[in-house]
Formats: sequence, C-alpha cells, structure tokens
Amino acid sequence: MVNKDEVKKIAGLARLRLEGDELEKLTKDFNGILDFVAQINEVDTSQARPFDHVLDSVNIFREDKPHSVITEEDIRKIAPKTEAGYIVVPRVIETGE
Amino acid sequence: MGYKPTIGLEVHVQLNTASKLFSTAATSFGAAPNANVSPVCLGLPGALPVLNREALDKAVLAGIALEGQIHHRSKFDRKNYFYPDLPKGYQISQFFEPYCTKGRIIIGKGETQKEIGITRIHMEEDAGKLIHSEDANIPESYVDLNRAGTPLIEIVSEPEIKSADEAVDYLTRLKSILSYIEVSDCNMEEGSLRVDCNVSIAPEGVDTLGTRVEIKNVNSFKAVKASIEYEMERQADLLDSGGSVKQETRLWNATLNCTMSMRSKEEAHDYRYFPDPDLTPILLTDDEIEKIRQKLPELSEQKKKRFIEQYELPEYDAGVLTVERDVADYFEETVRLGAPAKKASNWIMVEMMAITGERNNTLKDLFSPEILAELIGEIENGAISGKIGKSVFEILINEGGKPKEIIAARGMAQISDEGQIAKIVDEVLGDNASAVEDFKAGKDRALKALQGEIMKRTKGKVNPQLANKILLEKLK
Repeated sequence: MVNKDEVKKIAGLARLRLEGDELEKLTKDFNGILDFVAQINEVDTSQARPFDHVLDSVNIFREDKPHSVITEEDIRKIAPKTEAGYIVVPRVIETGE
Repeated sequence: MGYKPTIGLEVHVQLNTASKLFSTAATSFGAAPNANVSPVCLGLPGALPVLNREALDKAVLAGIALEGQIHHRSKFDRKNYFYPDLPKGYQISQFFEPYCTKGRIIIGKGETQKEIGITRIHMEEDAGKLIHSEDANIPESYVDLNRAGTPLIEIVSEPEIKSADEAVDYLTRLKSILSYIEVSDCNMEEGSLRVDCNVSIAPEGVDTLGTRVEIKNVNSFKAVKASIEYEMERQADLLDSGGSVKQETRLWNATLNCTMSMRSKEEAHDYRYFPDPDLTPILLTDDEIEKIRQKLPELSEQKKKRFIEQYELPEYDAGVLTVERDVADYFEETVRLGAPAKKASNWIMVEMMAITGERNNTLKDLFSPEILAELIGEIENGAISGKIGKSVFEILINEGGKPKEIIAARGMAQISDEGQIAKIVDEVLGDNASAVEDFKAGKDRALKALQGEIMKRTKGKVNPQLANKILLEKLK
C-alpha cells in the first residue's frame, strides 16, 4: 500500500505536477495495481535466482571501433535549439550530480 | 581539543578506449561540441546500448592491478535523475553487482607502510558537460554531450585514510598503477581522473565516526591536500565552538582556498536504482580473467626493487624513476644504449625532470634516450668535461641537435693533448709570475687563481684533471 505522500514524492521525482483530485485518484489506482501484483507473493521464490533479464542471453559485447552515425546537421534538426554546436536548454543550475 | 580525521576517497577514472562505453561514438578530448555523439548518448528512442569489450577488459585489468576480487558475474543498473547532462534521464552504472570488490593500495614506506582497502570498483558512463552563463539573467544553459557515455571506473576506498598526506600518497600510487597498466591517461586537468573526498573528524580516543562531509571539485593533488586540511580545521572549529557538523556536499574553491556549501535541494537524492533491462549480465570465466591477468606489466613497486638490484641505484633514485612508467622506460632505454646507470639517473632526475616539471611535458618531448646516451657517452669517454656537458645539454634543450655534432661544430671538445696543455700551462705561469711566487710562499689560494686562468684561456675546455696534474708538476 502507498499513501498520498509517497505518490506525491514519486510524482515529484518524475517531474509531474498533479492537479485537482489527481493525487487522490492516482493513489487509488496505484494501490489497485499493487494489490493485483501482490498475488505473486503467494509463489514460493526461496529457491529462485533473482530475475534480472527477460532473455537468457549474456555477454553481448561490441568491438572498440568508433564510427559516427549521426551528424551535426541531424542534431540541429532534432534539438529544440542549438547554438555554435551546443544544444540549448532552459537554464538549469543544480550543482549536485 | 584534539581530533582525529577519517578520510575516504571516491575516484572516477576515464578509461582510454577509442569509443564510448555503450556506443560507437568516439571519445577524443577537445572535439567540437557534440561532434562525438551517437543516438545512445542523445537518449534517442529505440537506441540500445551495447557494452564495449575493450572497456570491460581495461576495467578488469585495473581491478586485478589493485588486487581486487573480480566477480564472475556482474550487471548494469540505472541510476535515475533528471538533468540535461544525460538526456536518457538515467546514468548506467553498477550498483547491485559491481564487477570488482575488495582491492587494496599500499601507502607509506618502511615502518610506516600501511594498507588502504578498496571497497569496490564499478563501471559506469560519464555525463555530458553543461555551460551556464555567468550572467544569471540569461535563461539558457548550453549542453555538450561529447563526454556523455565515456567509460569510467569508480574506485571507492575504505574510510581508512588518516591524513591529507596519506590521501595524496594513496592517489599518487593509484595514478601510478593505472598509468602503468595504460588503462587511463590519468590527467586531472583534463578530467580523466577526478576525486571526491569524504572527510569526518572525531575527538581523540572516541571510537564512533563524526558526521561525514563530501568535497567535490578537487582538481589536483594540491587541491586534495588543501581541501582536506581546510575541512578538518573547519569541522574542528565548529565542534570546538559547541556547534555540530552538517552532513552535506561542499565544493572546493581553488581560488579562495576553502570549501563552500553547495546549494542543496531540501529532499535527498532518490536515484531509484534498478537493473537496466537493455543490457545483459556479464559473465566472466576463470580463464578469461586469467587471460587479462597475463597482460599485467611489472608495476612500480616491483620495478623499484629491480632497479635497486639490477642497476645498483640508491633507493631514492629507484623510487623517483619508477613513479611513472614512461620515466622508468626512458631510463632503461638510456642504460641499454650504454650509459652508466647512476649517470643516466642523475641526468634524468636532476636536469631533465626539472625542465619537464616546469614545462609540464615528458622526457621524450625534450629529446630521445639516444641523445641522452650519446651526451653521457661523450662525457664518459673524456671528449667533453662534465661542465661542458651541461652547456651541450642547454643547447639540446633550447635548440635541439645531436651532442657529437654540437661539440664538433662549436669547438667544445675537451683539450686532452698533454703537449698542448703543457704549452698553455707554461704561458699562464709566465704571465702570472707573482701568483707562482705566492704559491711557492705557501699561499694555496694562488693555485686556484692559476687553475682559473688556465680554464679561462681554454674557455673551460681543458681536461681539468690533466691540466691540474701538469700544473702541479711544473710548480714543483
């Protein structure tokens, strides 16, 4: 179960602004989904290996050979704004990483 | 009150691969903005990351060199945060299952030698660079994603470092090891080796640790020492005046020589790590790890021991010559070309390293080992004196050329012909009758004057031992 505060925090992390009764509604939806998924807890997983990939494949590598597949022109076209090769974004100051 | 510090270091090291960790974009330093990007670095929909095998091999070699335990199984996770330095909205890192844990670095020497543990080493991708205008009214920031996706390893030490000097010692050795195995350029100015310092202090005799402060933006060994010392003092002042240390991240300001609190958001970071479904787990067999271990070259400590034994160098010389691999290789090449080891060591340590330190370049940038061996050879075989050798060295540094040619072209060769020297000595004695009398009257200083005159007339080129011998014979 999650409460409204937790949903508010998750929305904040996802940069979503909730308006009106959306917080109420989302909290209800969240709990509905969690209840449904909780059924899986009935399965005994004590012998199961942690699941970390949908495929069985491992060790997919590439060689260390650089080649360019995208041009400056491509970037200019897809970026909202560019200047002297830089991608221009709204001013962001957050010194943390 | 006396306090004891506890220091832990987190070091990010760029691996020197040709392409990025998960894409084919090149990694070269100093390219035009966004010249080295790929759909993966840009976070374009549908672009999938594929691991660079060379980056994995280099990371593993670093883990082996740092005496870590290489895991047979590891995988990548997503560290989620919104910031334009990584357009995907997350950084690919190794959180749950890093490829290496439990390494160590030996610091100090002799009786003060001690081991600093390495908690873990993991692979991750670097972020891009943001440029903000100094003018806070300009509502835009500029993004360069060339660095985004460059392979990094992060090396996290145990909090076992007890002083700023130990921290610098740890980093010096770490840098030496990583340069030796050639997995990174380890250039702090270009950002290929970056350090975050965690510092806390606690009263002497108390077992619990104090509140930890993380220092970022530490861009040189000098800054590591200064920032840790500053932070120890700042925290001690706080505690002495009855205050407490706040757990926070502070930035080192190299201009003002102090740490400054970063504007931090109210809520703590919540990275919501989870396994990256785009990347498959990495499985390494014992054979594969062993194959990488075979690539491990002789490291500085072993090389130092060998230099002492094989070349009979003093421990000090062997230490200085082996900190960096290119210096050690330069020395060995010079000796292989015939120079006596101690002579080669002196020229490299004293004359050449003074200049490379000043110019911030390498020995090979000055001249090749062939040139140094030739110069030492000319002094050894008596063609020039040691003093003239220094002059030839100056010419080599400032104008280039070859020692033998310089000596011939500028008439710098030593005068070793006894007949010729005897003639010069006779002239000097004839012209300085009073000095001769002074000497015979027991004034030793007169001898120095005569020696000086001989040197002056030969422009310093006379073989000093031979000239002295002849002078004394004639004065009898």
